[in-house]
Amino acid sequence: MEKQITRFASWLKKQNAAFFFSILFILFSLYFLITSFDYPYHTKFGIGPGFFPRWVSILAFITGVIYSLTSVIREKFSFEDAFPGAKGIGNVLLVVASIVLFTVIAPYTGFVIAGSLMLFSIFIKQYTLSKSIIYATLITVICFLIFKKAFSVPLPINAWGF
Amino acid sequence: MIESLGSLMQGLAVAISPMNILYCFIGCAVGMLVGVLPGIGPTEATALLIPLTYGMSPVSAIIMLCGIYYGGMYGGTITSVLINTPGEAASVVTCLDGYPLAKQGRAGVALKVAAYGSFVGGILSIFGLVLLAPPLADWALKFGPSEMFALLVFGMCMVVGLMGKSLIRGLVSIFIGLLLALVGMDTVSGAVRFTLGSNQLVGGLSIVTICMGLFGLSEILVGMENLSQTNKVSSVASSKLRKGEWGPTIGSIIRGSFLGFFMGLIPGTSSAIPALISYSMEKRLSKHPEKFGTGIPEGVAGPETANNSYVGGAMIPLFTLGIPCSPTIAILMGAFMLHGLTPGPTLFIENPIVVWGTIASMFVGNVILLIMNVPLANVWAKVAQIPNKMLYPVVLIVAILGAYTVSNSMFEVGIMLVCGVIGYLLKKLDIPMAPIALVFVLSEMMERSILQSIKINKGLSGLYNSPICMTLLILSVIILIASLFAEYSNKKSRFLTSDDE
Amino acid sequence: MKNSKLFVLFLVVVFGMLVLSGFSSVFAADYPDHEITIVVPYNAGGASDMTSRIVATGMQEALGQTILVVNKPGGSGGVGMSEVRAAKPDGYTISYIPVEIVMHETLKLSDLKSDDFDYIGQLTLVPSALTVAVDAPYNTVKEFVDYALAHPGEVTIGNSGAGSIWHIAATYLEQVSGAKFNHIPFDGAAPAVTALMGGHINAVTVNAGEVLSGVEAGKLKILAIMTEERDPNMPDVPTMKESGFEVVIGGWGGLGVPKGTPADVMEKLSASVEKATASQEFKDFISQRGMVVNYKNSTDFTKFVADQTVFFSDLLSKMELGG
Repeated sequence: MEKQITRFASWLKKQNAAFFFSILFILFSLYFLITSFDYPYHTKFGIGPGFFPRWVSILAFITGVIYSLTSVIREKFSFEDAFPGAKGIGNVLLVVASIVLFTVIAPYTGFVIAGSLMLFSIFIKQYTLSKSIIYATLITVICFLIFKKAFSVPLPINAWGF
Repeated sequence: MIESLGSLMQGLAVAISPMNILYCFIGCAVGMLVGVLPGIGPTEATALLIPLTYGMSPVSAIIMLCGIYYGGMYGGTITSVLINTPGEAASVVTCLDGYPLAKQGRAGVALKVAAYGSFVGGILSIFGLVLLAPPLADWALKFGPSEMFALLVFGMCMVVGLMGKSLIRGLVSIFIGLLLALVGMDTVSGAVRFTLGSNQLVGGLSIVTICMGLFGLSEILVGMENLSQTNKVSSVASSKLRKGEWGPTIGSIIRGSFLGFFMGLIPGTSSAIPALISYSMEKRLSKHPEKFGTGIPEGVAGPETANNSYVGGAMIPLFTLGIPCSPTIAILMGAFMLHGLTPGPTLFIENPIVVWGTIASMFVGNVILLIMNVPLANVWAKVAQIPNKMLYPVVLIVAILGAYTVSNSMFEVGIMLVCGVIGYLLKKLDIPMAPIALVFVLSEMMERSILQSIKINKGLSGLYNSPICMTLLILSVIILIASLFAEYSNKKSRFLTSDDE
Repeated sequence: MKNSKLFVLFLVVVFGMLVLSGFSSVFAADYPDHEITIVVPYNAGGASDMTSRIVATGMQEALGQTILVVNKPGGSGGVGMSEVRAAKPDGYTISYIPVEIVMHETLKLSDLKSDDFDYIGQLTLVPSALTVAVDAPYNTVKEFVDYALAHPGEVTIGNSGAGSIWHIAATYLEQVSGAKFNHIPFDGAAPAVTALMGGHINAVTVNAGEVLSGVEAGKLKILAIMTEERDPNMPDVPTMKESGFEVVIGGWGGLGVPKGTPADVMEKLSASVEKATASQEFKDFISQRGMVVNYKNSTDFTKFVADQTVFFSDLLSKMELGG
């Protein structure tokens, strides 16, 4: 099992990332192209809301196909070249996960707690525990005061008002 | 004309009263703050602060609000240069050369030329406003839907000039922008399109969220990859221009001033358009176009000048015809009305002190911004020296707040996250991102204007019956052919060199 | 070692969060005991936004609590209003209610219905005016309609978006007069007026306030206003009715809260709105923008909304809205 994973990983590293992306882009433009048929191209009052999307998505689709061809013929980007090792990806995923955590808990805990937690989870790998807590809280509170108090942005708050 | 100058002097007397200078200063400072904070742009800040101006005299109130507008424009530049995150569409182009400069430790240079450029652009366009207002306002009205469409086509062709090394990757980027702009309610027919059934997408995606994700968050994600390593911060280099950089920079500032001013006259444009055209123009006129994008001062100076002189131009339709050219100007117009003043030609006759006081305060505002920013440029440049492990989390939380502020919902933060991940992938694949943001801004106007043109003229006749339109379209074709040709001959030489190896 | 420390910290934080979110404010206090939010379903800086902000400052004084004004634009007001409808009916979330509320159901813009809200009071009336270029070959509505009848489908009328109140106003005139116009949608009233000044379209049917500066600049003339009576701000402009066309239509704005808000809260809000709309600042601003201050209390406004719902559903079902 483990062997298979390593084999898959080394296979993936050699693959052409640009080609994969071009396929994604083609699917993206196809979604727009197909959906554009839901909107009338012509109404009895003239051109309908389907006109512009139809043409744009057709041209996007063609561009996508050309891109996928060029990505195979020349300008190869293997995953290995484009993306860093496991540790780098781990850091990136940590940031993404902490933002997701923030959006999920902020409506319940209020901005200050959710924001501090998010920053803390990033800081803890770089600083000592106490420093991480202090920095995370301090930065969050300052931002809270500027946006909430000075500019009256209705940030999510908890029962205690933060 | 002499009369205008006389009135201007009177206005200046009003504007340099200590109280009004103080208000102007407060306005500029608040403006810079909101410009630096994403999500809250000058539009939102002016709207928020209008109720605070109740108790002030009309002149003071408007002087302060104008200050916010100016300060906000400059604040957007700061974040573009330091952290590669444009706070608004107008600053997208500034990232292209401003951020590379900052990476070389020359953030001070970028911010200084931006300050000088904004100052010159601001002052020249105010002179234009004083001397040329009425005839120009009439000329600008000739821009109807057909002419607008041609101008936008012209702008899109200019975007081609911003692409990186490969035309096809640039086109992919352009189409991502065009497709994203389709999401939401179509302003022409009211049809709701491509929302995946989500209520929150009905209003469309927001340019602020997209910029924040594509530019800001993706920068953080790339930076996080090797955060643990001690980052090599280049030391702060001298914030002086080098020998040989003066000439092109001054040239780009002067050209940018004129460009921005005339663009400002045209109703319905946004300050992103002059910035974009200025950058492409400078690249085309330059003796070393290949250096654009690697961090050269004229790449920052031109667009920054253009988007500032745009403000002066945009005031002309407001003062002469009562037409607000951009959302922020519309709010300023609201502020005028709140204080019992209706912008328009009668305002000059009924309330000359207000009009000339406001115009004069723009001079004062530009001077204050210059005084504040030239010394501050070095301070800001030090921000770029903050270690990444501290800087990135701070930028992250501010970006999240910015996205949240756009529609006051977590949904927007989610959109920013998605854009950030997409931006991360695009960066890895060397697909340029500036075209996405710029095309996104132009696309909606483009669809609307072509549909209006077709509907008014019952066909495409509007496009070839108008001389302005034809000129712009022919210019677009020339530019497009020229850049295709340049790409082709570049490729050929590149192949030749690779053969040699 | 480091991991166990982290784990303890994590537990503490999670526990803390539970405690914090558990104790929601169960202590009932007199309304209002914290800040109130007014949601404006349009962009910052527009007429609706400015109206709400000024009313909010007045209400703030009367209620003694901070009032935040928040913009949630999109979907002809549907995004912002849907959100308020879903909010707790406790009087802390208020929506600015534009005329579009009575059209959402008929035009299928969203699933909002006019009886989704309890109405606090009406603030303004926004009259529609038929405006043309100053050098146009017609000086009265009659001449304009005759011209349009002679040139069917050629007269272009700008509005602020398909399905907008100004589009409906033009279509209503079309219906009453029998003429056929070419409706051109813009993204707001101001760009439509600009296009009119540039001679790109023939007329607009937008809010009178939007065209005032153009009239003063000597570029535009108002042929008629679509109200019952002449506007005191523009005594020289005839009404459509006087000109022989039974066209009375216009926008309006008010405030509403989610259905089921307690009566005592409604009373307090209603009283504060009455006070705010009576202020000189409010009156000055509204008339400057070519609107009319038209305060109606909760009962009258509720009835008015119900009447308007019937009126517009009736009108819209007879119309074929041209895109």
